[in-house]
Amino acid sequence: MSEKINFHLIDLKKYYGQREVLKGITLSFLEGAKIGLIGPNGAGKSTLLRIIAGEDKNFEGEAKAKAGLTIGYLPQEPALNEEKTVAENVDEAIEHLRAIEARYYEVMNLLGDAEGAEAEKLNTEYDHLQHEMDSKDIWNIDSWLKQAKAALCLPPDEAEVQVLSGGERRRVALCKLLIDHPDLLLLDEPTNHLDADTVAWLEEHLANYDGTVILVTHDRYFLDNVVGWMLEIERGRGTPYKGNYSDYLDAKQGELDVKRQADAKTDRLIKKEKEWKGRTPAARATHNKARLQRYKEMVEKRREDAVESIELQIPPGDRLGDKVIEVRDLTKGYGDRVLIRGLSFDLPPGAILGVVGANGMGKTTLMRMILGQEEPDSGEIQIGPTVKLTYLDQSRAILDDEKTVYENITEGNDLIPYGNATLEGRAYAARFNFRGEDQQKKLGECSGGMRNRVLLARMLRHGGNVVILDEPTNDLDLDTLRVLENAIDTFPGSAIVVSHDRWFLNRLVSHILAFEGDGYVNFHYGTFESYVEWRKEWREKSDFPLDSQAGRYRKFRG
Amino acid sequence: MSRSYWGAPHLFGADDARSIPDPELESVRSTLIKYIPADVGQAGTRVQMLSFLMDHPEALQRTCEEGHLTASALVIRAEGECGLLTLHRKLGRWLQVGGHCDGDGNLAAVALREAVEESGVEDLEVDPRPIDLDMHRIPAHKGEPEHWHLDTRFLAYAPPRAKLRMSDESLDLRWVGVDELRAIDTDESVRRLFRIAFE
Repeated sequence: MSEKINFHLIDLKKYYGQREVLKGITLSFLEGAKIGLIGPNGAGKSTLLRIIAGEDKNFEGEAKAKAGLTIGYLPQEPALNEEKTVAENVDEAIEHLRAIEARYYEVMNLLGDAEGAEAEKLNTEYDHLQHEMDSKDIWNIDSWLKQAKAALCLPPDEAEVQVLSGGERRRVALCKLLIDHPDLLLLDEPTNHLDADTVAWLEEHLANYDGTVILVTHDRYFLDNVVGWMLEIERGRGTPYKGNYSDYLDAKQGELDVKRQADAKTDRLIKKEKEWKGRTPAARATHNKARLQRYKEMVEKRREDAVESIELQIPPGDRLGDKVIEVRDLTKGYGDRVLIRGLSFDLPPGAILGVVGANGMGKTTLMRMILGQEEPDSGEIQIGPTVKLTYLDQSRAILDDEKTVYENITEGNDLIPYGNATLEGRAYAARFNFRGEDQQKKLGECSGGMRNRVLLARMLRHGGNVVILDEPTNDLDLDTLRVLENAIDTFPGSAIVVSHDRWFLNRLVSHILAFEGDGYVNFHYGTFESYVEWRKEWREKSDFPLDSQAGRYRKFRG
Repeated sequence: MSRSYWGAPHLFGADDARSIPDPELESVRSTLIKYIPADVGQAGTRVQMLSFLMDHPEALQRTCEEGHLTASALVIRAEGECGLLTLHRKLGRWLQVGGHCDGDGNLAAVALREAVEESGVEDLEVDPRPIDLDMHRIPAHKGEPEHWHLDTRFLAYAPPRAKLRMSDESLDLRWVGVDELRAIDTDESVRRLFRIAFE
């Protein structure tokens, strides 16, 4: 394949009011490049995707596609044709293929009666159509359409799209997009609302995709498995890195080490400049403006950098005894539906338990039983006498949109007990990366990621030595995620974490509790990766029904 | 694993220096991307040229019918404010020296090569940073259709008392002073070059 540049951005600038979100980005993409876009929330990743997609034309500089390039875009909330069914929506993507098919058979019929120049013309067209039929595999259109729908676990063909859930709508939009097969594919959080098997399928499909792919995702495994390039958007600038997410982390670490040395030097310089500044007030006014300017720049730079180096610590509670949580022969169901059948396990002190499984299988119900908010049908849950539980709720209903971030976090307490010390409310909130003006923001104006941090700060304020986190990683940007991971990693108690984030599950978790459906809940010693290995064997041995056909990878075109 | 340092600034998708699709073209793009436009007009020309290259990756060759890359130089010398202009045989106008890239993506080297050829001065020196970009139409001529020239301009320095020798591409060749510029048949882009060089 001869690779050519098929898209470029030159001096791209984007303003929101007075704020310059993108400060001049110049980039080119080659055919077939797979690029992961990362950066803090609000840095402009989705904006950049929209600009490349041509949906946002309000910018300075140039964003240009090579002539004839086809572009497909999956926004976070994709639009579908509300009047139509699932099948009709997907069919929109293949209208042009159906047209080729129809014309092919038409020309074939016409050829029978044609003569002379007319026949020659039709023959040429027939050859062309034949080529199209072959190269686009239109012969097997119905079969690969069916495969695509199965791979993405689409709702039934006849379902009206207006009654679909957000997750189902995304699947339909994604399926349509992949079938459309654009030269440049732009995906904003493609793995949101997808189950693990579909994510695995999508990973493989995109890794083999012959066009260019640019995607924004919080799923670090997805990044690792799909992309060959990373583009970091930070403070309005774009920095390219070659490699996947792991490579990026390595490179970033290297840069940080270099920077730390440079920072130490900057600190020394600032100190020296400060002395100089204090010593010669008269000189300052008259000359050496450049030097003053330099001082200001250095201080400014340190202030900007300080944002990055937040460290979050979960306030430690009292020492945890040997007995934490013991579950014995637990069974729970609603009506005919059994969620948990005969589950027994012990959670040891210091363990980080990852809870996995599709939505609606009973994960949250188990959490509620541990918290004593719901009773088991049979069996028992014993909580150790030294345990103090803190629960981070998925629904976030307890937050008040009318109040500020600060008020939501502190709930009127200006002093927060923190380990053995006491912190001022502002300092406490700052530990969760809320600085000055952010603390005064009304919660109603905050993004999903910020709300999640507010909740985290509020719940963790109470201390506790066993924390239960229900989907804490949703909507967090990668930086905050890393901070949260470090916090959990160094937390002196036990933690129970409900999560879909495989990176999180593999790097932090010591035990896995997996809801497989139909009351099967497996307790496993080890990371998610080792559980997946184990499950493969378990499924083969126990002839457990596969919950979806997506598990096995199939290409659906060509 | 590192940032993309190998002279392919912000080019996504090439695995290493060897898999860059066309290193010569990449060298041109790199020169254009690094060039800092002095005004809105130059910024526009830079974008136009980069866009032309995306749609016509073969633009280094003169066989690219829609248009192709050229490089030129305003040669100046220590003695007085004047630049070297040649009375172009085909176009009948006084222009700076320069010519087609013919596959060579090192624009400064092309400008130097052409300047040496057309001036006869062997020991010219060229500053590798472009001073100006210009995109102009070339009228149809001897079976060649009308097409674009994408010209990147440099500044070159002649040694003191350099001896000029005319090539057969030109009708005349001489040092033109800033004050003489108004009196000769030339174009706006040449006047612009003089302004950049001497103001």
